[in-house]
Amino acid sequence: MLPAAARAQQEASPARPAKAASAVATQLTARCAGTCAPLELYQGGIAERTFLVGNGGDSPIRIAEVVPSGGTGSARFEPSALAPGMEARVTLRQPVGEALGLQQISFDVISPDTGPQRLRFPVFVQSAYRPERPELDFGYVRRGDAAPRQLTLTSFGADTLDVAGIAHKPHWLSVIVVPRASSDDPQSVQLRAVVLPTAALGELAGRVVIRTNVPEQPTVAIGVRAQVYGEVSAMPPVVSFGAVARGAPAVQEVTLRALDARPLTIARVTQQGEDLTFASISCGAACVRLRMALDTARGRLLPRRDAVVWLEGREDPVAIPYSGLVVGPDTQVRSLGVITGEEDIQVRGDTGGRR
Amino acid sequence: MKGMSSLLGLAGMLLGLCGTALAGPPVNTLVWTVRDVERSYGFIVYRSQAEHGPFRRLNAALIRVGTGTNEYRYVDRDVRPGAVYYYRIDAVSLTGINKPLGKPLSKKTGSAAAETPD
Repeated sequence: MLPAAARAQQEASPARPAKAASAVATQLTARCAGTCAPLELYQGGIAERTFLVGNGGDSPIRIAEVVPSGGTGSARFEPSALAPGMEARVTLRQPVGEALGLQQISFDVISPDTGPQRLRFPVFVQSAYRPERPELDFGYVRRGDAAPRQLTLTSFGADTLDVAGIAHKPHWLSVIVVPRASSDDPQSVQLRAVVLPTAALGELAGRVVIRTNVPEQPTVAIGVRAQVYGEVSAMPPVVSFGAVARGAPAVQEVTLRALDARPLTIARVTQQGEDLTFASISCGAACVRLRMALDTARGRLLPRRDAVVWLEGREDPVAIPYSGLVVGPDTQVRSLGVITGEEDIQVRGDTGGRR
Repeated sequence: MKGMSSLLGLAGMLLGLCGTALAGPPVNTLVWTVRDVERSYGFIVYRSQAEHGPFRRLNAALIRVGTGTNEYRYVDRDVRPGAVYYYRIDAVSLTGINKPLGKPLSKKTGSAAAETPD
């Protein structure tokens, strides 16, 4: 493996030659001004790196603009007109956001005289807090009856970690900072959150952003999620069909129960598209079982979406998120049925479904 | 390594801490080895004057994982003779997740190497 500096230098080289036929006549070159080592930043920081972009050809080149290839960066460059052999200083700035770890930031130098020149530099984004990806997951909770959840946040960025305020929170959530006892770790704070009785039903997700006294990273974002139900609960609350072979049967059942013991009858079920057919079976006076059959006639990905169950005599419908994947019979499925916030299925696409 | 007498094992990682016998101002030198750094990006060294903190980060820039070596070192030059310090080292993964290599190790500056904790 190349040393980091060498790798970065290599990455600063043109992504593709400019105008192949006239590559010798007009050619941009690029190198780091100073170190090419990855920039180390904290979440929310701004990455800034300067490149020297040169005219390696034998005719003048004008730099029209330098644009980020993703994100919301900005660039300044001087000069814009480069005679052969001349170099421009191109300084790139881009906020790194909250994504952690080693990543690349890319900009394109645009010139009417040559093709785009890709400038790319590595950044390493770290968190000043532990856990690095704080989350409060309430799970499946009844509205108005949600037990509080606590989160301990630690930072070695201050001798005593203090919360200066809550910069942002979802309207459906109450958040407080638990007063610290004398025996508590001074570099930790405890947050207590509760889903408010006014929360909407269904899947809720958002972020709590708190301000602290940690100079390196004065704000930290905490992911929050809850699936809130009212007088009717659904079990399971989320349906994953997993990966299903084309043409194979795929049926899931969800049991709906009325917590107020009133009779439960399904009036109708709505969905986006026509993926599912529904049937219902009574399982008692205040209980009904919803049978969801997935149409597997054609292969496709069903990203997470809702089946919405409307009940007779009740205002609030019950939303049942579902997802799945219908695959060809030879497709190799590496894992399935693992539900995370990001994905629940992985398919080996690199073998074209065959080993 | 000469002068390194304490070892702390956790998940295949070893940690040592020693003083120096060289002339000049005292320093505390941390030496550690890591068996598997495939998914690691670097290390952070923290120090406290009490076992349970507060700890503060010493190295502003991460100590990068290298190729061809599994031994790393950090020299703490900002120490007072006779003072006891507690050191903690975190490995930082490529995805930005920190994990301590072990329990904090104590060192009295100017003394022999640190004791191996239980």
